[in-house]
Amino acid sequence: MRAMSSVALALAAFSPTGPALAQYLWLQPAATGAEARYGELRQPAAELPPLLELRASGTARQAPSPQLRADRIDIDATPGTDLRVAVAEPGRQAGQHVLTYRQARLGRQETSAVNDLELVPTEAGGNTFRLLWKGTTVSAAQVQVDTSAGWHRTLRPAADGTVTLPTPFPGLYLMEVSARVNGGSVTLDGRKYTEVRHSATLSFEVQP
Amino acid sequence: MFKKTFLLLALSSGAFAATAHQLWVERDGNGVARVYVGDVDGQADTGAEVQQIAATTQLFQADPAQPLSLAVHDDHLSARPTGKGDIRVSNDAVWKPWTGKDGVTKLAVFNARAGRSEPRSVLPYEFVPVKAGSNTFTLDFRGRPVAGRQVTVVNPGKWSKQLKTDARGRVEVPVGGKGRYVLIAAHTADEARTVGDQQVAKVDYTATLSFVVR
Repeated sequence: MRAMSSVALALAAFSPTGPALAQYLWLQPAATGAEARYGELRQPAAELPPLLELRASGTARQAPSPQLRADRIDIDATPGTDLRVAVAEPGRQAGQHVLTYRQARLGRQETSAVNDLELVPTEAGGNTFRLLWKGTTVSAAQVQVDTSAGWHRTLRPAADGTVTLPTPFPGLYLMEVSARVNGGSVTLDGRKYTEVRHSATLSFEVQP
Repeated sequence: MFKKTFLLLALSSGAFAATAHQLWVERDGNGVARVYVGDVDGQADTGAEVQQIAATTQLFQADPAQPLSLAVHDDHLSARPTGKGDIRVSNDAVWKPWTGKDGVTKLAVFNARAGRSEPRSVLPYEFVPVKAGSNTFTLDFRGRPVAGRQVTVVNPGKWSKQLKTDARGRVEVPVGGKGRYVLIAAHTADEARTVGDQQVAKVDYTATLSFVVR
C-alpha cells in the first residue's frame, strides 16, 4: 500500500558529474503487441532490475496481462489502443531507501491520464502535450525526447505549461519526465522509503 | 493543509551531459559573426556571462595575430569580418583553472569555427572539412586526426545526435535539411602551463564548428 505524505514534487538532483546514463521504462510495439523495456532507448538494459507492483492497463475489453521476462515485460495489447504500464523500483542511494515509480504509456490517442504522472496529448494524435500529476495539470520544467532515429532533444514548456514536439523523423519517439516527491515517503512490503521519485514516459510511432 | 502541487522536473541525466557549456560562433548571410556561450541545443547565456568573456575572446579570420574587435550584446559578441573566409574563435579564460578531486589542475580552452570552406586547421582543436563544403569533417588536434571520439551534432531544429569519429578521425554529418548545424567535441591533453600563479597539468579542449546548409 502507498501512503504519500505530500503531493509536492521538487527537483530531483542527479549526479552532476559525468554523463550518467539515463534510465527509464518505456513501451514500444512488439510482436506480442507491446513490450516494456528499461534503460535507454539506444541501449536497453539486458536485465530488468527488481520491480514491484507491476500493473498494466489498456483500453481492451480484457485487461492485458503483463509477462515479466529477463530483459522486458511482454504485454498482450490490443493494437491501436493506448497502453500503460507502471512499476515501482526499489533502490538505495546515499544510505536512503529510494522508491522510483516508473510509468510508461504507448500511444497518443487518449487525452486523459491513467498513471499518476503522465504526459497526455491535448488532442488525439496531436503533437502538443500536457503533464498531469494525479489529474492536475502541472508544468514540466523540461521533457527529454529520444528517438529511434538517434536524435535527442530537450523540450521546455510554453507559457501554458504544454510542450510541443515536432516529429521530423520516422520511427519511435519517447518523451520522458521525472520528478521527486518533496518530503514524500512510502511504505511498501514493510519497508519505508524516505525518498520517492516518479519517472514517466510517453512513446509513439511516427510512420514515414 | 498544504495542497498545492509543485512539479519541478529533474535535470537531464542523459547522454547529453557532454555538452554542458559551449562557445560557438555563427556567421549570418550578411557576414556578421556572432559568438555565443551556453548550450548549443538549448539557450545561450546572457548579460554578465557574455560580458565577462568579451575581453578574452579572440576572433579572427586567417591570422590569429590579427583579432577583430568585438561588440558586446546581451546574448552574444559580434564582429564584422570582411570577405567570405571561415571564422575562428579562441578563448582560454572562460573559466579560471580548477583542481579536481584527483588533485589535477586543469584549464579549459574553447576553440570555435564558423564555416567549412577551408580544408585546413588553424586552431589547436578543430573540425576540418575534408574538402570545401563537405559534410564530412576530420577532427584534428594539433595536426593529427582524433579517432574514435564522440562528436555531438545539433541540427537546425535543435535536435542532437551522438556520432563517433572513425579510424581516420572522420565524421559525416547527417544533413537532413536547410539551416545551421553545429558540431561539438571534447579533448583532454597533458599540457603543462602556467596561468597566473597556477600550474596547470591538463587542458580540456572543446571544439565547435557551425555551418549553414542553404
